[in-house]
Amino acid sequence: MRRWVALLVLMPLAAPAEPIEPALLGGAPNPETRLAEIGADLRSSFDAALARYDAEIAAQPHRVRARIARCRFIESFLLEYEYASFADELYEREPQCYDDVAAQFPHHPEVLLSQLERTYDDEERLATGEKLLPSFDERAWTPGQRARLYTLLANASERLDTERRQRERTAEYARRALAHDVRADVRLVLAHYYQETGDPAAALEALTSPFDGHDPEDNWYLVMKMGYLAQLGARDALLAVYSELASRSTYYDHTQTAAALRTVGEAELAARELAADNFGIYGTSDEKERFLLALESGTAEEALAAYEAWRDAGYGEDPLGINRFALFVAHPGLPWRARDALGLLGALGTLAALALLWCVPLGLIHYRGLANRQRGAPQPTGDALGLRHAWLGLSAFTLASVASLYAVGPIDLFADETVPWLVVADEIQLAKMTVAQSLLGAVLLAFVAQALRRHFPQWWSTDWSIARCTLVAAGVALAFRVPMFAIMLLGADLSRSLPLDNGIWQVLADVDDLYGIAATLWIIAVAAPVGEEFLFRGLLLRAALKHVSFPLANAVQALLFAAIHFDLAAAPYLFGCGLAFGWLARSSGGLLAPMIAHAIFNLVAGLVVLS
Amino acid sequence: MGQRTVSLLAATLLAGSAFPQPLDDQDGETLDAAAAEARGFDYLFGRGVERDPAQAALWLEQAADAGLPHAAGALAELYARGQGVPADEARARELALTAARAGIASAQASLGVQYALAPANSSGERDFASALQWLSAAAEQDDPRALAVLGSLYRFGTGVRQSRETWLRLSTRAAELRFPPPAVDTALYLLTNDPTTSDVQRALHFLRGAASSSYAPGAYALGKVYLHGEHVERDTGLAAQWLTRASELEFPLGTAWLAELYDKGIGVTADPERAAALREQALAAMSVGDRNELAWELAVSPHADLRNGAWAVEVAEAATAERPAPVYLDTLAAAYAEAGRFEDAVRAQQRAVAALPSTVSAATRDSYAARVELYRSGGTYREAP
Repeated sequence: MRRWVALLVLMPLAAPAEPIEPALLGGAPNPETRLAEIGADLRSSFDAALARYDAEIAAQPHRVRARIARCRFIESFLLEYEYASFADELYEREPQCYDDVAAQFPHHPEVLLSQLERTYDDEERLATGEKLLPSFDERAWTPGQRARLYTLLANASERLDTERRQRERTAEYARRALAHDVRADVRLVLAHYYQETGDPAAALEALTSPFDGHDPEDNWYLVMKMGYLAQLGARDALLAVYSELASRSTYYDHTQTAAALRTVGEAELAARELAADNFGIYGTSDEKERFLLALESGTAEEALAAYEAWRDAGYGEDPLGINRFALFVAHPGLPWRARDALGLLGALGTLAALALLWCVPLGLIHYRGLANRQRGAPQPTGDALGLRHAWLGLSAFTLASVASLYAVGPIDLFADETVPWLVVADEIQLAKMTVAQSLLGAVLLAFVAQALRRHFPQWWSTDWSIARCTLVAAGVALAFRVPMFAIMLLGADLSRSLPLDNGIWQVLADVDDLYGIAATLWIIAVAAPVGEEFLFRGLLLRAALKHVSFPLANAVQALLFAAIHFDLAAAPYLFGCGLAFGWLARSSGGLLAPMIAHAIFNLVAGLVVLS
Repeated sequence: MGQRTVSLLAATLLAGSAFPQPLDDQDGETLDAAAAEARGFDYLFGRGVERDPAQAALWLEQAADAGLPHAAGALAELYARGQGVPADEARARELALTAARAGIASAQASLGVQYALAPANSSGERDFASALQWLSAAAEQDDPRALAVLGSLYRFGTGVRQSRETWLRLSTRAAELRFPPPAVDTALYLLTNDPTTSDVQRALHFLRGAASSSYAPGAYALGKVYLHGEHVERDTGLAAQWLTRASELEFPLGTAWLAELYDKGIGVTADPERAAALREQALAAMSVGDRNELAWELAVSPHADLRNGAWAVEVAEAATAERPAPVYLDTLAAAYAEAGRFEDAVRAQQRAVAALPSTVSAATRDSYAARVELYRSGGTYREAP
């Protein structure tokens, strides 16, 4: 009994200082309770942070940016804690917060900028932002605020732009942004513009400016920048960006980085980048880059292994076998595999498909001729040439185009949502491809001319004297180039303001850089005028005249002539040229006049644009 | 190069936004507040009507009375400048306060500058808290004037804890927004503190921007950078071009150095007559501080073709005659030495040492004393390149 009394006396003294966790007594911890505790903590932390904003705003109620920062805090909190228990409440408070600031500071530049930043549709952002421009002075926008508006407009415009005219608008907004704030975040936009419009010095200056206002820790931006620097051949600047990026982070697009490094000859660094984990989100581009790297700087076995690894992803990776052919050219002794024949079949299939495509307009002419005949319409006159001869010539031209793809080393063909196959080649490859196409085309069309000598014996002959041909041809060509002279007389920069086949002129400028003026003159003054006139105003027009009237035959050849230039913006203009050259061919009774006209037409633009 | 101290606060005030000039007429129309504000701005900016500050003030007054802050801000400027209305500082401040409270950066900057420069009250205190409050509010909206003035307060520790880093950050931002005074200030700082390639690029960009916007100290500083060839390739032709610009903008030191270039045919064809005329023009316009700066460089420049002992003596004697302070006597001594008048140099330097205040640092005192011995031994003082 005394023991029990002693125990009862001692028990309070031995009681633990802290309450015992229920879990220790056998009770399971309740996750909901714990989550509720965390939720409550989160709420009180949020409220405390918001209270700090409120206190700061109460102390300085005129600070508009502090008020907007408070709203942004709510917005950012929601992005970070999307599933917080009180998120629904915040989803209502966030727009209310912005509305309150807008009501308190109507038409204030910061409020308007904030509204614009939260407009995610670029069309709408542009339209709304452009309406704000006239209010700069009366609403007392600061230079920084003006620059931010122009930056928003430039970037929105950049994301929309496809047409040349809009590119000018994008660049103009970017320049205005920099005119107000040298640190405006538009350098990449400007670099892109200058690169596209053939001003690499200005592009490089934009990319290497010490005032780049973009977030220096934005890896996506840095990789993009390296891509542009690689295209400009700015090795040192690229390596400086790479060194900064690689020393700070590993989470960036290693494939694009490797491609940029490879372009400036840094094969070792490129290989190191390709060995890095690319998070499995960039498809087969890793394998493609490995192949290009191995082809350029690896052994034959490495190149073959890399090609096979890339090709393992499927037929679509090298549908025409162009890269396998490039591998063959670099290392002829490597073994072939059965699946490599698929590339050859792909090439033949493409050629056949394109050749058959010519049958569509030729077939329509043929059946139109039949219908005319059945109606008893007078039979149009024509010589011994038939539509099949025209098809032969057009197919030879197609063969030259397809074969030129194989003349420039590895290129990438990939399917896109908008076009079945997109050719990705660099500027030098495009220049080489153009020269190869002109040479192959000349040879193949010479064979065609030889083969058709019975049907079209004196295609070069003409009813006019050479002097007359030259004078009339020059008149026709200049009539089409008068707008260009007008622009030149007005002092505009022709290379930037001409809407005429700009892509082609860019390639020709590269041909000029790569092979010199003789190669450029060969293409614009000889190969294109002789080849295209022989094809369109010679074979096609004459063959069509056996079936349909001159206006229709002329329109069809002009339409196809415009189509092969692959420039929608310039198509109406080229169609007009095609009609005029067709008229010249018919009036002069030969091809000399249209050839001279075509050559002068090309030369005028060439001399102006390329100089 | 010798760094010229720019009176930033005054310069930034003078460089504040300007409103258009006057004209006539008014009608008796009555409009609602927003329409009155629009009409006021039409008259102020000459949109569809002739510019007329008086008419502008009339309509803006109506809009400001209805509480429209942008109208109040514009009207405050008109009252402050006496354009279209009689100058009225109190009314200007009242209207500026309305606009500033509505968050308008230019009004906040104006108020901040007024508080920063306002004379001390009867207890000798100045309201730096208000100055900082308004300047900060404007500066965070990227108002370059507010950034520059706020930076100056931090640079000199006026009303705030002195912080060179904060000054540099604010001043650089103002320079990036193409405000010339801080652009020149920042550029000179960047160039004189062991600059990196990026620093030099930025400094030259700031100087070119300031010089191109007709800011005389910018043109002068750029001319001197090219003349000295510090951190850039020396280009006396460009130097002459920018110093000519500074001279055209009536910057006396620019005129003085241009005279020197014409005298010696540096970057221009030598033309002694023009040099003499320019010298006369410069001497008449230069402050005593300018004279000292010019004489010092003419005497001690590391570039032999930029030294001119005789003219240095002439300019330094004029400066010391006006203000015989130790620093000016030090310059006079250096000028005598450069001119080969070593006995005069020793005497002038001894006077300089004797005139040094007791508070001066030991290092400065030692350097002054060392120059006495240098001149005594027939040596000349040279600044490091």
